[in-house]
Amino acid sequence: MSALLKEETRVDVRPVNRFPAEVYNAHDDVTPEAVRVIRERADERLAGKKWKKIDGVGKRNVI
Amino acid sequence: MSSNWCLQPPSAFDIVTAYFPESNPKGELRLRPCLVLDVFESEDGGEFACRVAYGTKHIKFVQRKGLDLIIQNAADLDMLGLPYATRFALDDDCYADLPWTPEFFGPWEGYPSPAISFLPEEYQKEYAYIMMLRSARGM
Repeated sequence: MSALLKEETRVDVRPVNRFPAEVYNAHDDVTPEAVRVIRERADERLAGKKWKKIDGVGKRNVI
Repeated sequence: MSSNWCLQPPSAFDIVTAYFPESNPKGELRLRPCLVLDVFESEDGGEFACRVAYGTKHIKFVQRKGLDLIIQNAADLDMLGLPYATRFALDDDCYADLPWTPEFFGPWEGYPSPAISFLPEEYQKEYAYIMMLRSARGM
């Protein structure tokens, strides 16, 4: 059965303490502005090297 | 905490935990689940990077269904080790290419590695379907 057709069980009955408390500390939605902050920091680290794709499904083959 | 996990790159469709800046407190980096889309190796070898789609618990099902990958079935969340229903944002301006290093990735407390789980085939197919829809819409 596809993930889209699967009956949704929206009530999560798993014990909350199954996970460390920190997993619940990420509250913000993903926004282009916040991603840009991370991208800029990452680009500094990635610059100056050539990268080749070794695995993946995305449409770009280079960074 | 050992960072030996850096030596072993993730795979495409792995779910990993990466740092993301929060607005409150502003700029504080906190770990959240991400979906690995591509993995890269430096041409001189030994260093890895990956393209990730960030996950959020803001599902926005009506607005984002068919645009983002949404996982909210409780059994699937359990299998994937996700603590809450998660939407992986697939817009071009919401992914990031990140070095596979402790500066950008980290394990949750008690976990040996940022790698949590691997996306099963049914969700890989859904991802492919979403990307096909996006392509047809010129996105």
